[in-house]
Amino acid sequence: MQTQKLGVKGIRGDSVFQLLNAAFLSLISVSMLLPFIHIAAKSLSDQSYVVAKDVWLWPRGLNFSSYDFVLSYKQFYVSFGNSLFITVVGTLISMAVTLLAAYPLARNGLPYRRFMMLIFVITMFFSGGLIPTYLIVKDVGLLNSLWSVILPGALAPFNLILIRNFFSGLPEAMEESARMDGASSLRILAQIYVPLSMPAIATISMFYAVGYWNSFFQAMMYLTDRSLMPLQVFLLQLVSNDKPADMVVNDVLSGVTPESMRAAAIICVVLPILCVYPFIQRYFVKGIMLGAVKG
Amino acid sequence: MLKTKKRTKRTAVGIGVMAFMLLAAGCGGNDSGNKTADKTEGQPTSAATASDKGDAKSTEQAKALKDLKITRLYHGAMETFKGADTINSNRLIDKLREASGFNIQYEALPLENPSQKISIIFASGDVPDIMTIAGKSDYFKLAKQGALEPLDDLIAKEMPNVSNMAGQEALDAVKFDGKIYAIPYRQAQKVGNGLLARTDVLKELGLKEPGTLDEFYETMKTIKEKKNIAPLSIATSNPGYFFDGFTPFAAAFGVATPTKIKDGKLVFSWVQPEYKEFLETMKKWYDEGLLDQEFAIKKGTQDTLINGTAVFTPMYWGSVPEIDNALKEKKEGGTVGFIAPPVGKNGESGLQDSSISTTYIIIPKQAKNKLGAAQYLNFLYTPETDELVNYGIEGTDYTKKDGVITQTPEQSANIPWRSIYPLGDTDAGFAARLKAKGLLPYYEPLLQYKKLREETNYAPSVEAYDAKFTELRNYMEENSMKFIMGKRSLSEFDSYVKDFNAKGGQDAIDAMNAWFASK
Repeated sequence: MQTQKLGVKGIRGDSVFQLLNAAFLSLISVSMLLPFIHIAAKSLSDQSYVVAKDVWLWPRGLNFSSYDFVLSYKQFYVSFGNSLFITVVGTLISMAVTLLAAYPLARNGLPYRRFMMLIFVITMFFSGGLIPTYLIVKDVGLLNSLWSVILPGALAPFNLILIRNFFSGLPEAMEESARMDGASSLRILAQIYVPLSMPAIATISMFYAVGYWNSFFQAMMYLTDRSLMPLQVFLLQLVSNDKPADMVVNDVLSGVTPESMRAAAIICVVLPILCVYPFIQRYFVKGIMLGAVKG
Repeated sequence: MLKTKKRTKRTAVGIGVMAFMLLAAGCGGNDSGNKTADKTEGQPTSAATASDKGDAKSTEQAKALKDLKITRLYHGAMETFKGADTINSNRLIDKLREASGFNIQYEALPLENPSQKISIIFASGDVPDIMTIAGKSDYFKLAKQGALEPLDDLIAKEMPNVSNMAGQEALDAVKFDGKIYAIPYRQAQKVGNGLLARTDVLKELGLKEPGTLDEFYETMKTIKEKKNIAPLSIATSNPGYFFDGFTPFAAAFGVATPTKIKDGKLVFSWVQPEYKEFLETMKKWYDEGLLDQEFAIKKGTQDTLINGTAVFTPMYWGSVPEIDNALKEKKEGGTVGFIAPPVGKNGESGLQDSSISTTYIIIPKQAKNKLGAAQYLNFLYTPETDELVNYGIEGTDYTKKDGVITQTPEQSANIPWRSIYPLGDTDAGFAARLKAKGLLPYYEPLLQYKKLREETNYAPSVEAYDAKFTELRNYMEENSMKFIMGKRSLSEFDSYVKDFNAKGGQDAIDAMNAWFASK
């Protein structure tokens, strides 16, 4: 934005660059958009056109039977609810934990601060391994509960570092004056640090939320009860290309072609997070920028 | 963006570390498995102990625990529960519990990467009583690690009905170190792919169904002249699909199965002189524009038949209804039907036999209720239970009159999830489901053709062969495609054979012959 204003208007090189830039970026955005439109068109098309590969960007023989089919799955709603729970509760918990950890780590007064930070950072590079983690999750009794998707990974050290850096950038004088006015640490965090770092918090929340919405590995490993499956696992099972013989024979694919059904399922899963995104996006951009400048 | 990138990187590192740990833990699992084996050595396995004691008190039934946990592979029908029904709560499982006397709980492995979860389950020690495992290599790996309960005694004492599901030959094929560690999941489907044709186009051009390979060639030439299309379309872009696609034609040369018997010994079909002949013929078809020029990059061929850009294609029978419906809804219309696979000059022909199962039902060594597991399997394998899990409950889901079962498509569609409960498929059950779905007319025509049996499917684990098979197959596929498309000259066939054997082909077949000779 800044450079654009500084540039002298009317210089040929500049406008050619702008033009090329715009063309290039449009090309990239179109290439990202096309597959999505293609899938959407397929999901809305009559199955005979889908099988014949006659659908490109516009639905042919418009009908909603694939959606009828996907939405008739009881598991879809169950999974949707689970994903919603995991995303909302998970993000709240993650944010609470991250803020509570970032605040003391950002203040100079805390003894062994660097050492504690090191411990957090180590986990970014070395994990305990799948089986030990599984055993811990099992032994604390989280197996087969939605908490197993949320709690083991509630704190992402990377996000912690971002928030801590953001906090470190806030002037210490503010904390001192608040303390002189008799505010406790918790109050300083809640009433000074958090309101001042809303852009960063919104951004990190978005990171966490998208992460939770997309999480399927933990769910696949820790959950066996089908009523706990999140949406991503459901989607994975629907879109998988494997079509074992027994699936064909077992009434599962009656009437609707697998391809248009998969397309409908993909749209159903992507749409909700797509709807939320524009509302948070402005924080998203601002948050990263501020974080970069101050950190 | 930068952050997400870093996150991805971190995830990548994480996965790498996890994979390493998994590997390490896998070896550890091996160790502990051996220890368990050591501990129980010298005394019969615990299930056998239980039943032995049971014999002494003559209350064998009572020794089995009431609770039974079954972990099966993912099945698409699990998504079809409606209303309050779930996999562990519906009228069918209630009936199964009541009739078997066990409190059974079913759960499923994920569809994606089930073997990873299986490793974790075994490593954690919290194992189910019955489990299904997909893939020969996974099964033999677990058997080798000592993680599985030998079933010979249990089969002899507790599972007389096993013969309904697995014959002696099938059981012999799952032996490791002379012991049976699994019951092969019986596959009721006998054949998968057939040779599908646009019958209306044949009629329109006044052509007969071709019988021999030469007739097939002439028919294709006529179609090419009159319609100017490549009459034969095949999709082989995925690894392992080359032979699914080319089977009907390779069969005419007697090389449709990976191995064949020559002079009483097994040999790889892919290095035989007749395999070269097969390639020469396919190359001719390709050069003359009779074979789809894009066969090597195609993922599916349904569209070619629908759009009339091809007349013949190898097709899975379960996919034919899609084509049929699409043709009916298109204004040009058209009909499709399976035709006989062409016959070669030595009278050879056929389709792939797909009745061989690579899914195994096992009882983990550490299972709590091994005796109950065996008894429940035996209960599942009775004809009465088979009827229950394939049709549902009499009166509600089907009617029976004079021994004849009638089930309407609506009744069948009402309990689509029933097929997750059996652990092995019977011919009757398979036919019933096909009939209810209207699929029999697509499946039955294929049964009349000769099915080609792959002998090594009946072999137990032969390490030199199993370890190399995929690599060898990929090498063969890659080169076969090059030969057909003229990217490698067929005069180099001999050097291809030499390379194939040097890559482990010779060792693999020698090791397999050691088993074959002892058979």
